[in-house]
Amino acid sequence: MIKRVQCELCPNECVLENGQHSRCRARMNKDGTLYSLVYGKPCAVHVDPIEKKPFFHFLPGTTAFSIATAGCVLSCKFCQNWQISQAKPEETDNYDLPPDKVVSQAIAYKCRSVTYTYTEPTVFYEYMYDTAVIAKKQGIKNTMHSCGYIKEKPLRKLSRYMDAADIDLKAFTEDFYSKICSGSLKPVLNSLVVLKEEGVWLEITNLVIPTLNDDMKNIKEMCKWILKNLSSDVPIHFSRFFPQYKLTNLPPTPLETLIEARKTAMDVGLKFVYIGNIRQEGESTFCPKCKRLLIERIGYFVKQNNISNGKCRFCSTSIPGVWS
Amino acid sequence: MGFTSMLLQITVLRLLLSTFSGNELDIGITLSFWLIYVGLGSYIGKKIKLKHAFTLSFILIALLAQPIVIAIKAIRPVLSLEPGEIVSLTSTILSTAISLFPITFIIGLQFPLAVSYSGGSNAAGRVYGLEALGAFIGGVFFTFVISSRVGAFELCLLLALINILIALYVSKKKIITLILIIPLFFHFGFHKIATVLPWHGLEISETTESRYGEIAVIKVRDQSSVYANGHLIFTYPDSQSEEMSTHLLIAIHPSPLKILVIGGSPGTLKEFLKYPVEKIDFIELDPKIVEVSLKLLGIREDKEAVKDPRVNIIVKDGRRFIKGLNKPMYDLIVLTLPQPSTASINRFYTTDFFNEAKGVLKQDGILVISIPQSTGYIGKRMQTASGSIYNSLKYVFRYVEVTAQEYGDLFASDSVINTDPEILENRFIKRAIKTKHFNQYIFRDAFSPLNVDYVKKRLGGIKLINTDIRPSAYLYNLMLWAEIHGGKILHYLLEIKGWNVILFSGILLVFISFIVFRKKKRVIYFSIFTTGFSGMSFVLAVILAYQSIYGYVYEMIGILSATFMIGLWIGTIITRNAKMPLRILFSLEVMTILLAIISPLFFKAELLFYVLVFISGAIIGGQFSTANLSMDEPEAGGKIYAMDLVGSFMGALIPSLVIIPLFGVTNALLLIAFIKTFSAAMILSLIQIQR
Repeated sequence: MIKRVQCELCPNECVLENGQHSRCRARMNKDGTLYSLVYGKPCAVHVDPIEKKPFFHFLPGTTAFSIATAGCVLSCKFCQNWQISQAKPEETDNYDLPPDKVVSQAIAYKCRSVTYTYTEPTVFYEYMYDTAVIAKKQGIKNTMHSCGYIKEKPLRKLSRYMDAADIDLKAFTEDFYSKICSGSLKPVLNSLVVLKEEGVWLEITNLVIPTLNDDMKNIKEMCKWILKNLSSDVPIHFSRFFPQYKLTNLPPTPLETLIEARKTAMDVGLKFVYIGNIRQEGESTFCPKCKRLLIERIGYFVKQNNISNGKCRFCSTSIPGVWS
Repeated sequence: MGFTSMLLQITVLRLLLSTFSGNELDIGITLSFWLIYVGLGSYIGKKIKLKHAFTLSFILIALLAQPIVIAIKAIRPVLSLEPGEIVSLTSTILSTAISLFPITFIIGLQFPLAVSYSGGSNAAGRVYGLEALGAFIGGVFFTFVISSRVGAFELCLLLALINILIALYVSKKKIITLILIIPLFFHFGFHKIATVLPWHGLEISETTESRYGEIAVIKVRDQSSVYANGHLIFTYPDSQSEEMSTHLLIAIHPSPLKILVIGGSPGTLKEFLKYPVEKIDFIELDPKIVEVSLKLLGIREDKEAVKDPRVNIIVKDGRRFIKGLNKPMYDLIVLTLPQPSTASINRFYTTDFFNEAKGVLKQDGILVISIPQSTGYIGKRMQTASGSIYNSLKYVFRYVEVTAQEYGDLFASDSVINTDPEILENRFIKRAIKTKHFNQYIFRDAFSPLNVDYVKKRLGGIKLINTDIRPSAYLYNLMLWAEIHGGKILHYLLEIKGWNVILFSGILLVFISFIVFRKKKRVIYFSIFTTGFSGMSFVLAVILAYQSIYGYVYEMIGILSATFMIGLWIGTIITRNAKMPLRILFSLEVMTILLAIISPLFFKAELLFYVLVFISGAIIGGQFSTANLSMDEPEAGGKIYAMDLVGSFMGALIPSLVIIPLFGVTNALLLIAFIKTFSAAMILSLIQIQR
C-alpha cells in the first residue's frame, strides 16, 4: 500500500514518501500521516521590543515574546536567520515549550504580545495556531513575521487569531524569487490580499539589496500594487542589506538607495514609509494630515507618543494601526 | 620551464584565491590538481614520439597562458553566481580541476620531452635540478620584481613571449617568430574584459595588485567597497557602520586616552576623535589598501582625521608591531579584522596573540574583538567557532564580557568590565557626542541582561582554545563555511578523529609494505611516493606554521618556494654521481624522519624557517636523484617523476583538508615521520638483499 502524503500548508506542496522530510524540514511523513517535527520545540526564545519585528503601528513601546523553530519554506541567499531557517530541527538545540507555557512566560515577562518570527512561522503552523488560541483567551495579542509563502486556506484559518502580520515582500519580480529564494512571487501577493481581507493589521518589509532588487522601477511598481490592492495606509519598511549567509561579499545598501526608495513610495501615495535600521526622520511617524510628529522613535526606543484613542492628538485624524 | 611553471603556479594560485574569496584550503586544492595533472602529463609524455614535440610544447604553453587568466576570471559568471556570492566546495573543486587541466598537462609533458632532448647519463636528475633552479629564479623574481607591480594578465603575456622565444631557440626555425603576434594581439584585445569579468554586475572603480593579492574597489552609487582577494574588507562612506563600530565599544572604557585600532575602515578615525583621546594608532598590513583607502576619503572630517596629529597610520603587520612594543601603553585595543577563515587572520584570535596584546595594554585596558552577528539563535557551528575565541580570551584575561548576539562584540580585560546598560548610556550622554545614527538607547538593546546571558551560556560551553600551532578557530570557521554551503563531503571529513587516521594509515602502510617487500622497483616507487607525499605535507605544514607565527606568507611565498627549489637543486647536484644510491636513499629517509620530528624547534626564529625549507628541499632532491640512480632503467625518470607528483598531490590535498586543520601542525609532522619510517624500513630490506 502506498503511504504517500501531500502537505497543503504552503505553495511548495511537498509530496512525501513514507519517512521523507518536507522541503522546510519541519514536517515528515510517517506511515501515511503528516507529522510536525517542531511542535512545542522552539530553538529561539527572546523578549524584544515590538519595533524590532518591525511593527510601528501596533502597540508601540511594548515588548513581544518572540519564538521560532527550525526550518523554512524558502532558501533565500541573504537570510539573516540562516542558522535556524536552513537547519534541521534535529540539529538545533531546542527548548521544550508547549503552547500554554509560551503564553504564561509571555505574561511573566510582561509582554503584550507573542510574536512568531525569526524563521518562517508557517513551518510551525500547528504550534503557532494552538498558542495563538490560548494567547487570545488570556488577552495576549498575536503577531507574526512571515514571508507570506502559505496557502490561502490555512492562512484564513489562522487569521481569526492573528492580530498583526509583517510580511516580507522581498522583491517584485518572479525572477528574484526564483533565482535568489527558490520560490515564487505570486503566492506572496495573494497572502497579502487575504490578510487584508481578514482584517489582520498588515505591515510590509522590503530588504533592498544592491544589484538584485534595487531597481527603482520595480520598487515603484511594487508600491503601486500595494496602493491598488491593499491600501495607502499599509506601513512599508525599507531596510538595509548587510553581507550575510551566501552573499557575504556583496556591498551593503547605500543610504541614498533607501532614501530614494522611500521617496518613490511616498510619491506613489503610500502614507507611512520607514527606513529601518538607519536612524532618520524615516523612523518616526508623522500625521498624514497635519504633518505633526506623532511617534518619535530613536532606534527601537519610543520617546514620545502623541496618539490618543487612535487619533492624532493635534488634529484628531484617525491614524491607522492598533494602538491598544 | 621551471621559471614559467613557478610563475604560472603563483599567478594561478592568486587568481583562484581571489575568485573563491579563498583560504588555505583552496591552496591545497589548487596545488593538488596542479600536481596530479603534471604527473599525468609526465607519465604520458614518455609515450610521445612526435617530432618537434618539445618545441610544440613551449608554443602551446605560450598560447594557453593568457586564456587561463581569462578562464579563471570567467568562473564566477559561468557559475551564474550573484555578485558577492560565495562558491560552493564542489564548484570550487570542479572549476579548479577544469581550468587547470590544459596548461598543467602540457607542463607535465615537458619533463620527459626535456629528458630525451638533453640525453646523457642521469638526464632526469639533471633536468629535475635545472627545473628547480628555474623555479627558484621565478620565485625570487616574483617576490622582488613582479609582486605588487605587474598584474596577472601582463605577466602571462610576458611568459607567453618568453616561451615562444624558447621554442625558437630549441627548434631553430625562424618562422616561429610570427607566433609572437598572437599573445600580443590577445593582450590588447582582451585586457578590458579580463578586469571586468569576475565582477559582473558590479561597477569597478579601481583594481590594483598588492603583495598580498588583488585589491579592488567596487562602487554602488556614492558608496565604495574595498575588496582584498575577493573578500569585502570595508565600505566607505558608511556612517552607520563607522559609528556602530566605535561608539558602542569606546563607551566600555571610562577614560580611553590611547587607542590601538587594527584594521577596518579609516572612516572610524573621525568617530574616535570625537572623544578626548591623546593618541590613536591605526594599523593596516597592506600599504596598497592604505593607499586606496586614503584616496577614497571624500568627507572633510575624514580627511582632517587622518591628518590630525593624534592619529598615527602605521603600515605594518599588527602582531609584529605589538611584539616590537613590549610595554603597556594602550587603554583600548580594537580588532576590526574579518573572521578567521584564513590562517593569517586566525593569528589575531589566538591565545598567543591575546598574550601579546595583554602585554601592551594597561592594567585596566580593554581588548575588543568582534564575532559574527546572529539574530535569535547561535547555531552549533557558529557556537563552536565563536566559542573557541571566547574561551581563548578567557584563558588569557580575567574578565570577558559580551554584547547581545545581534551585535557580536567581545570585551576582555584583567580589570572588571562594567556593562550595565544604564552606566554606559549615562557615560555616552555625559560625553555629549554628536552622531547621525548611533543613539543612547542602543546600549539597552546591546547589553540587555537576558541576551547577554544567552550569549555567555551559548559560547561558554566550548572548551577549545585557539593557538598559533593548533588553529581551532580556523578549523571551526571552515566547518561553518561547510555548513553554509552544505558541503557534505567536507562535513564528514571534518568529523574524522585522530585514532581513525593512525589506524587507517597504519593498516594501509603495513599492507603496502607486504606488497613491495624486497621488490626493488616497487620499493623505489613507494619511497618516491612517500617522498612526494611527505614533502608536500611538510612544506604545507611549515607554510602554515610560518603564516600563523609571522603572517605574511603570500608576500614571502616566492622566496620560500625559491629556497625550497634551490635546496632541491643542490640536493640533486650533490647526489648526482652517487656510488651507492640505495644506501644514500636510506640515510636520506632517516634524515626526513628526524627532521619531521625536530622541526618545531625551527619555528622559533624566522631565519630558521628558511633553513628548514632549504634542508627539506635538499633531502627531497637527493631522494629523487638517488631513487633514479637506483633504478636500472634509463627511462624510469618519467615514471618516478610521476610517482613523486601523485604523492605530492595527495600530500597537498589530504593534509590541508583534513590533517592540519583537525590535528594541528605538530601532529601532521609526526604523521609524516610515521609514514617515512615504513618507507625507510622497506629500503633497508632492499639493502640487506644486496649484501
